[in-house]
Order: sequence, then structure tokens, then C-alpha cells
Amino acid sequence: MVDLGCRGLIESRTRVGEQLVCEIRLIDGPLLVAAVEDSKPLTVGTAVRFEPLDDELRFCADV
Amino acid sequence: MSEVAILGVGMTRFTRQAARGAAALVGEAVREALDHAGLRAADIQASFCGSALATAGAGQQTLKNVGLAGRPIINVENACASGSTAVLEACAWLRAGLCEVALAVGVEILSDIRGPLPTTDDWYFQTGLNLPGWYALKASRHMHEYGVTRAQLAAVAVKNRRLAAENSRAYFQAPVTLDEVLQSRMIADPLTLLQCCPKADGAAAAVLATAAFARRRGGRPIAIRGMALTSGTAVFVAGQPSESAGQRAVLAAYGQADVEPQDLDVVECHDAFSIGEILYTEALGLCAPGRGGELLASGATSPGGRAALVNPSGGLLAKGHPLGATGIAQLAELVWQLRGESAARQRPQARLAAALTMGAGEFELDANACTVFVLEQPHPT
Repeated sequence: MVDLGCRGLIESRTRVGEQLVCEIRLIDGPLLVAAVEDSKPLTVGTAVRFEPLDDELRFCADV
Repeated sequence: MSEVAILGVGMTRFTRQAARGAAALVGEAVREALDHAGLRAADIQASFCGSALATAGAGQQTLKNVGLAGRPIINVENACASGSTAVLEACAWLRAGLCEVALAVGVEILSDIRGPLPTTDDWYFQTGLNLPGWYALKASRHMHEYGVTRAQLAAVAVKNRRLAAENSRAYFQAPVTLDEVLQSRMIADPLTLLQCCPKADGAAAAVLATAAFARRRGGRPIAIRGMALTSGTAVFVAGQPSESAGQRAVLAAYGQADVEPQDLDVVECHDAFSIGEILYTEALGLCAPGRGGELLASGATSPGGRAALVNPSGGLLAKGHPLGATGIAQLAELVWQLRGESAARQRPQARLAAALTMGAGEFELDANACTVFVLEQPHPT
């Protein structure tokens, strides 16, 4: 099951080619790796949330 | 003397030489190790072959033509720590009394693989998390948490390229400048091309024996004072461990050897990517956590520095990283250093040394595997 409401903080980040990939520490503890939509600059410590984006589910800035 | 000793080592140059084939590379490394030990193939009672990507039976395929068929051959896979794990397994046999003399060999052919090396989970790979990406995440976290700079990361490559210029077995033998490292193509931010190890082909071998055999033979055995193998913990579920796989291996090996980090004269550690040397010099206790960048920048780990000389071989960044051969090649450099055979890259009066080899590729662990060895040149008796 996918929790569409989950939120977290970027713990680390890298860009491989065009893809921004981050480790995200969810607010309830677990760490996961995910591709992140980076329409705006995202740094370590930025809050992100999981939500549908076009035809994919991705993390994006939690603004 | 410890229970187990290294009697001799050998290795090929690490370079692009896939056409030679694994058997030829292993043959060259094994023959040199036997010569170095003053032994013949007939003296070897069991062999352990480390390779991360080879097909089944790599040891049998590569050792049958160097006179080692017919005796036990054990194949070992443990990612980039395959070779060093083969040494550890050989030591286990020696300590258990299953043999008196053993061979550990590691081999890999990588240069014919196009693009990034495969990893264990296709989902991560498709997401962009290849091995440079995995280390880049660690680098970005370290930069955020401790203020490690891009220049400090790049300085690892500058130091190790300079050291490799004195090593005829190294893949790269030309120094590079800080600007060249920083301006090279970005692979996985913040790691540029020259902060990533080359995909090399090569083999390395070590002849090991019980202390009793080493005493009977004489020569110049190097004692294994401590050794440890750890696997990573499931960071995604449990969170970051209080001690990493590297730190746990270091503590165990140092405890066995009864040594402190400041006792070390020489270190070979797993700089597959520049951040690796910073992380693992910290894990080895050469500095406080988070101070690895400053330690490197101070020159303390360079020739003539106040701390242990780190990666005199040029490390994985400059010497090359044929996965299964890497851990044994690190031990080979330490044996040469402790025997005073490292020529221009020799650390004067080297007596105590350590090697840390990391296996990576499983993204949901903080590492696949980590081995740490502490070696000592025995005092004259």
C-alpha cells in the first residue's frame, strides 16, 4: 500500500544525469530512497511530500 | 607471532587487459606470490578465490593451470570485499587446523562492461542509484553534517594520483591538479569523474600459513594481528546505526590486535570514490567523526605526515578497482610496506598497518560487507 500523505526531510541528495535522487527520512522514522521532482532547488534538510505528479507518484517540495 | 601470517604476495598491474582472460591474470599473481613466499604450488593445501562478478567455479577455472587442481578450491563472493573475505576464509581454515598453507586470490575483469556496474536491485539502478550515486548520497550528507568541502573531496584524488605515480602497477600513473579534478565531468553530484575509480582488470594473491609453519620456514612473514568481517544493517527500517559496518569491523580488529589508531604507520582504505577515503579514515579512528576532510587537507595522511600514510598504492582511485582483487591488493601493498619493499612510496620504518575493504551495492543496508585487517612486522626474535 502507498501512503499518499507521507512526508519527510531530504537526508542526502545527488543528481545522476537528469535525475535527482534523495534519501528521505520520513516523519515517522524510516529512511527511503526516491527520485524527487526538482522544479525548485532542493537541498539536504528540505521538507518533501509524496504526491501524484502527472502519471507518476513522486516526492516533491512540501510547500 | 600471531596464529596466521602472510608469507608472500603478488599482483598484476591493474589496467585494461580483458583480452588476457582471468586465468592468465590469476596465474601471474599466484606465481609472484609463491616466489615472494619462497614456496611452490605443491606446498599450497587449499585455495580461496574471491570474485564479485565471475561465473560459478572461477577458482577452479583460473587455478587449474597453475598446479593447484585436485586440492580444495573454495569460491568466495562478497561484493568488493570478495578478495579480502577470501583471505579471511583462508585464515579460518588455517586456524581450524584444516591446512597449514593456503592461497587466497582475487580476480575481476571489468573493462569490457559498458556503462555503470550492475547493482543488486534493478529498481534502484533504474532510479539512477548506481554505485557512484550511492557514494554521492553519503558525500552530500557528510558535506551537510560536517562541512566537508568539494575541494577536500577532490584533494583525495590529487593525493592518490600523486602516490600512484610511484606505483608501476597502478592504472593511472600521472598526477592531476585540484582544478582538473573539480572541472572533470560530473558523474553523481558532488562526485566528478576523477573522483571515481576506473573499471580495471587484474588479480592479486597472498600465500598464508599457520604461525608454526611460518616459524619453521623462516623468511619474513607478516603477522595478521587482527581481522574482522561485518555486514551492514538495514538502515531503511532501523535508521542509521550508531556504529557503521566499517566502525564495527574496525573495533573488532583493533580489539584483537590490541592497537590504537595512532599506532598505525600505513593504511589502505576503500576509496572507490573520493568520499570513501574520508569516511573510512574516520571509521579507522585516524581522526574524529566528521574530520576526515580536514585530516586529508592538513597533509597528515600524505608522505611525511603526522598520521598513518593512507593509500600509498594510489588507492582504488588511482591504482584501479577490479572488485574481487582489490582487498588482496590492499594487503599486498601493506606487506610490501612492512617488508620495506615499496621503493619510492615506502613509509620509513613501517611496522603496523591496517586495511579496510568495503563491499557496497545493496542499497537498503549501510554496506554489504566490510573487512578490516591489522598486519604487523614481527619484532626480531
